[in-house]
Amino acid sequence: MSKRQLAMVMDLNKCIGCQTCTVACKTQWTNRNGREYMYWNNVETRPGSGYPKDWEKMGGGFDATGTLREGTVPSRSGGYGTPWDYNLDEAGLGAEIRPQGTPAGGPNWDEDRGSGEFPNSWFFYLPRICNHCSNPGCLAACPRGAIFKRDEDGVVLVDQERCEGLRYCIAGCPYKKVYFNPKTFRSEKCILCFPRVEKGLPPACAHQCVGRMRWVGYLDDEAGQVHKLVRKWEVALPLHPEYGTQANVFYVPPLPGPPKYDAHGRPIAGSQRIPLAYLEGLFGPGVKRAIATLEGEMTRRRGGKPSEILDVLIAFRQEDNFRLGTAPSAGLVQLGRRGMKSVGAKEGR
Amino acid sequence: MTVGYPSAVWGGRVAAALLVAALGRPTAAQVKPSGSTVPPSAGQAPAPASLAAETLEAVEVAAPLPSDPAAPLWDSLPAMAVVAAPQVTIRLNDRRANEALAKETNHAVRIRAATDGESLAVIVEWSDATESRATADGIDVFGDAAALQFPLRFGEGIRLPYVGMGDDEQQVAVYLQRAGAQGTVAREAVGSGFGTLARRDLGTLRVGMHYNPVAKGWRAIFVRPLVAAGHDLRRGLVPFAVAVWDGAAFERGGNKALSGWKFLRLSRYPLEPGYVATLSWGHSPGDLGNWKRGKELFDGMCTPCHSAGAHRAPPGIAPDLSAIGVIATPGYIRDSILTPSAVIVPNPNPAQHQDRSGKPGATGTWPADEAYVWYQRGPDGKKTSTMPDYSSMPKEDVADIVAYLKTLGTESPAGRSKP
Repeated sequence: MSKRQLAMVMDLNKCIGCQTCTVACKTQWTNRNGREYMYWNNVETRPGSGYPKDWEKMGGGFDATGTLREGTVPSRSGGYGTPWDYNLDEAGLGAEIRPQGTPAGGPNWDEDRGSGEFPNSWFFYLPRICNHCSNPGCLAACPRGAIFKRDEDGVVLVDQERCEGLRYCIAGCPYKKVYFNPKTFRSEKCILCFPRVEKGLPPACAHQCVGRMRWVGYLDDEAGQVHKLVRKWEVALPLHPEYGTQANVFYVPPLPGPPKYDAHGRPIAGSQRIPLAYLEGLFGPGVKRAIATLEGEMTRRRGGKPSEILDVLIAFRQEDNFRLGTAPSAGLVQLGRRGMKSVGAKEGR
Repeated sequence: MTVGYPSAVWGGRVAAALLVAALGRPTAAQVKPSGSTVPPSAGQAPAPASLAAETLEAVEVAAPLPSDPAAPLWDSLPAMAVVAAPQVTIRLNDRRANEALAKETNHAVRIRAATDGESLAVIVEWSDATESRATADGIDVFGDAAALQFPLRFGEGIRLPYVGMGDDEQQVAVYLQRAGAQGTVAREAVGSGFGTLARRDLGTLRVGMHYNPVAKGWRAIFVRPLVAAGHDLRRGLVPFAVAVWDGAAFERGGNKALSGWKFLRLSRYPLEPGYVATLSWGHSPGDLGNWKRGKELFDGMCTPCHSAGAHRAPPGIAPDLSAIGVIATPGYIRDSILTPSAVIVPNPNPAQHQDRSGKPGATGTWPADEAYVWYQRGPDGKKTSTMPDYSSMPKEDVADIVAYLKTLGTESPAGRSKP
């Protein structure tokens, strides 16, 4: 049981699906040595089957009595997907350029589908990292006790010395955020960039976020924005709380959106583009209240009144999003002065 | 009932007969290996009669022992049939592995052994319809594998470790090899119970696995020095156990089939009569009682916590005994009843069961549900088994219960209910 819990908040209203977080993570951690297929951070589209494909149907997590549920390990081809090649040799001879085989998935594959019919179609992005759960399914599943939560920040890690590559953790994680590295024969996962955090830098995915939609801080730090968003205002909610792992990544749910249009292109009063039930299916029963709070704050603000919640969510200064000590991130301030290169060079890449 | 290697005349039940034949004569003289055989040394004694069905003589051959699993020498060695039962004592959480486990049957594993005085070779052969190998990019792909286990300490006055990778007090040396993308991946480790296996250098190990696609079976060889990293096997009777994994059934780690403790007879070294006597309990007709009465006693006392065959207790409360007749020695079962705290089975990961009525920690972590923890730890660190102490149980009752438990898992697999 860890003493403190480092947590992340993501505002889904601000995610533009640019995958900068994905690339930041990949270049930092997973572009080599058997990790190429892994996305410790991925951005999927909702509605959609996600990554790995249909991960929500693969079991894991805990049942209502607190007992670990069975789960499955995704396959390479069906779950994670394999890259396809193009017929470039034939194309050189004049053939039409085509993928070899039938492409059936890829990052953000689902965004081309979305949901609903024009002009009432809708989708939103859902960036996902390891949830660094308070009751991790992966930790409970490991027969070797190779997975642990760090005392100081609750980051969930796979001890690479103890791991034997058995992959029960993958079955046990309901979010499918543990990955098997066939080259090292160990399982690996998002480490919440703890080597960066220890230097006062936020995780790469959060740091690089173009939309400033991520906040990082300790849940018990009452002065911190993460604490306020999650505990005080309750506008940030865990993904699939019914999995029983107590995820520590929290999402500000997307606002249900503009009203739908009727056949004549007129807004249907009182209608919502995104069904509330869909959002509740992802973020639990707290969605209604969170959205009411957010909409209330927006109304206040439109009326010229102050709103601390909106000020936080707007993120006027990105460094305020990260509170890794007791003050805004020292590392980031330092970064502002000295530039990325000097700090990055120290990280022992 | 399957036949593995073409040269092996093995089908399960012939084993005992052939074993007796092998033990009753100077086996070395029968052997026609590629190299020359060594005449039996003077004063060599056969395996103890009480353990004949559990004992395989390591045939003395000329040095050096080959490293090739296809070497003709291995075919010439007599084999002992050993039953390996699918592991049901604890349940793991891979749905597909558990679905496959429900259809698994006991494996007939053949063991052969030879020594050249310096090293010991143990050959493990088993049937497997598919050759499964780990692949360079497979995520849900598992290689077939085999393991050989010895107690780290054994001999007179030392009880056998828990067969499932040892226990706190009695550790085991484990040699494991797995069919990798290319060749065999081997590992040497020391274990003191479920999940404790820690890599350790246990001397120069030579391994090799070979799949015979015609006979549809694996042969795995393990060759190690008799004395390796202080682990000395130069004794008259060496306990060992084996395990095999079927990658196609998603088997890895605890999802495997394992044997009970068996014994290698190294005829150059004397038998320890006291040790033989200890190990022999339960192997002579008079030792065990009436299994029918034992079943009645068991059903009356033990079933609230233990599953056994068709009877299902709440899963995870206590070890599932459905295969205990295969994997446990009679002496171990007796000790488990009389002195449960002396032979504690290590607990599976307690985080599998949260106590939702308990008080979560500072960061919301639920405490483990004590109902699924198999022992309590006293202030002195000493473990007390959750299982009540039956040391005052009449001897006949114990003998009856052991007789019943020894039948579990040994019948046709169809008789075993799904876990």
